[in-house]
This record gives sequence, structure tokens and C-alpha cells, in this order.
Amino acid sequence: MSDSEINTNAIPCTYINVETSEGMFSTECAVIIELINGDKISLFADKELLIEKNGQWLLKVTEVKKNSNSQIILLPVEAFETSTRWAEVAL
Amino acid sequence: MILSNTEILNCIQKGLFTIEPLDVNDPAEKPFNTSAIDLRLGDEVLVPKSNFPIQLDLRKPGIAQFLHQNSDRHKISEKTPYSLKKDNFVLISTYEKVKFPLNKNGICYCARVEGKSSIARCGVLIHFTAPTIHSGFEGPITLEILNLGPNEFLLTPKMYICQLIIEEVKGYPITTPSQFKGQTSAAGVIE
Repeated sequence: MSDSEINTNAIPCTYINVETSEGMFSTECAVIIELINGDKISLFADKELLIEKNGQWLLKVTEVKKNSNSQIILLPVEAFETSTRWAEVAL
Repeated sequence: MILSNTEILNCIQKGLFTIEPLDVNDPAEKPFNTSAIDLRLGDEVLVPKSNFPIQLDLRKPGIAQFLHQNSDRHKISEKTPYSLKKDNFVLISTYEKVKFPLNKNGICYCARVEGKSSIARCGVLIHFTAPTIHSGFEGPITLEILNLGPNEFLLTPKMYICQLIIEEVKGYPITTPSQFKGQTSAAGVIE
């Protein structure tokens, strides 16, 4: 594949703070995300979408819209508790 | 519009989406079909525990942790496949990982995972809900496998288990990608 053929158009993603625990498959983690309204949602995310920084786990998501104190994001998969990939979390 | 085998390979080579590992460069060879690409089974089988009655309430937090705690994980191999009994249900991921990125140029793809006729003839459902692989998804695909046939069915790693039908998405999935407001090209022309 030549350089000109490599896709450079993928939208950059952002990372949000999450809590993690062991997933069902060994390649994934169970993830808990706190929404702006204080509710907590959970999902399974591929380990490649998670990074650890200073002891804090971060999940790769797509940033859709930034508000003054929150952001609308698109999760990698839908959360169990809300049945949607859209979520609003604190900045 | 559904992508043909040649178009699937063309898009993969352009990096518009990925299906890995994929060692074949000929759309006339396995795993390609004329309008789909076959995917293989991974090597972990998740068996839900069913030894006590539980009422699932998705309104309550912590469902992911609950599902993890209430399933058993089995590693399978060519010599030790998993025998799926009649009316039993398991979860298995595909061996391949896919990635359907949200592309700034507006051309996005999504997919649907479907069963294969040979396995359907045996009475085995490869998925019975949630076939859609949305734009923006990346990772292995989790299959919900249910044996409705009269016989036990052996699940072996890397067996061709499902097919992926890929389509171009008309219209951009995200209406207000704030980080690209005013940006009109990949080079980043900002208003």
C-alpha cells in the first residue's frame, strides 16, 4: 500500500475517564462510565480502546459536540443501561 | 449499496476500513464471496451460567460486570472444540477484528453480520439479533450462537462461521463534529 492510499481521513478521537474490570472475553474489559447527570452506564470495550495514564483508565471515544462543561460523545458500542452509543459526560 | 468482493478488497487496500488478519489479495478466493466476506471463529466460548434464576433489569447499573460474573469462559482448540448442545446459547467473538472508522471525507461504511447457509442447515443460529456493525465500530464481532437443531454442533477455532455484508453509509453519521467545524478537507481548511 502506498502512502497516498493510507486513510488519513479517520476522525481523531478523544479519551474519557472510566472504571474498568475484567470483561467476558479476554480481549475486552467491562467499563463503567459516569454520565453528566451522575448516572453510571456499563459496556464491554476492546482492550485496544483503553489506555492507562497515571493509574486512570481512559476509553477512546468519538467526540461529537463540546458544551461549556460537558461533551457529547459516541461510544464504541451501546451501553447496557441506556441502549445507545450517544452519551453526555463531564469535560 | 452492498459492496462486491472486489470493492471490499479495494476499500481495505485504501484503508477505508479494515478486516484483520486478512492474508488474501484475490477477491476470487476464500474468504471472499461475491458480495460478502466470511469471518472465522475465535478461540473463546462464553457460556452463561444458568444454575439459578435471575431477573435482568437493564435500568440498574453494572450490567456488564454482572454478565462477566455470571458466565464461564472456555478456551477451545482444534483438538478440544466446544460441543454446543441442543437449545444451548453461547457467545463467541470472531477471530478477525474489524474497523469501520468515521471518515472526515464523509465516506463511511457499516456492515451486517449474517449466518452462512451451511451452518443454518444444521439448525444453528450464528446471531439472532444485533447484526449491525455501525460506523465507528472497531474490534472483534461478538456472535450470539444458539443451537436450534436436533444434534450437537462442534465449534472449532478459525472455522468459517459468519459472513460480513458491507455497505456504504449515505450521509454523514455525525451532524456536528465540533472539532472539525468549518473544516472542508483532510488538510484542514478552517473558516
